[in-house]
Amino acid sequence: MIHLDHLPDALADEKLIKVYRRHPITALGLMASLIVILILPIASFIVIKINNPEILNDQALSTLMVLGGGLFFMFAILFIYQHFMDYWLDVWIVTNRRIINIEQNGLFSRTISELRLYRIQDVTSKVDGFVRSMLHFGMVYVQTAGEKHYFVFEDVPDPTGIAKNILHLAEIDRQEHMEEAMETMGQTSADKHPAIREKTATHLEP
Amino acid sequence: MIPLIYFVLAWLIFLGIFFLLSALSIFQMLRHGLAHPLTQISTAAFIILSVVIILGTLGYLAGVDLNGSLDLNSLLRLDQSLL
Repeated sequence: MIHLDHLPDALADEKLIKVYRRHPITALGLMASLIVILILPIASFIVIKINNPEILNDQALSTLMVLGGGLFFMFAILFIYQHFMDYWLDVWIVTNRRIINIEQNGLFSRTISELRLYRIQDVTSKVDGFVRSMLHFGMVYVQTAGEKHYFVFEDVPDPTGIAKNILHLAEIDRQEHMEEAMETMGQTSADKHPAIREKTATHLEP
Repeated sequence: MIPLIYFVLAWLIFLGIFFLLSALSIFQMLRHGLAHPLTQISTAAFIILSVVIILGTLGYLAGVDLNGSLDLNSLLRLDQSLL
């Protein structure tokens, strides 16, 4: 399991800001159709009971219906579970240093990508369509310098807020990164100074 | 006439496939899921529901004479009653 206290390849001073997932309505669409499918065997049983109840007295036929119905329900709940898994395992983890995108496609395909916040140049949010506008969820596109492909948050709730949040965090990280770079440069120059001074001193000795 | 035991054997084969797919799904969920109560709750609900369905079917099968056989005419009657 992924523990948010111990992120994979955690960086120094890295703190978790937020975990984003797709809006639950994106998972509910198929769930609703599956519930309708689950009602079908029950409806068939009721129709048989009304139209031809003596069929249910046939033990062989009843056994066949129980076996078939059992298998139908078992595979239906397995399908629902796998669909939930597909929704649940897709996450975008935002820390004060980077964005981690974990994407699960089916049972055996898994993609993990990460992006350092200081490299972010442009963040765009997009809400299109009736359902997305009503429930206020959509896409967030994050682009880095020199790269053509986007880092995409798909169907996340409040994309505008997320875009603002990422830009703000990227700005802070960029400043810290600059300070770190300046400090490193400063130290390097200071290290060089005594050596230069010594060399100059030996040349100046009579 | 088709012996009932053939249907039970087919059911057992599908049950094996179901176990395999379920084990893989649960393994992936517990391995890659975030440490969150919903990860455990959904997995527990899936396992409990599956066990209830399997035990219910097995309980029904325990009271059935598996030496019996299915008449194809009764299958046609079932089809007619559904349509």
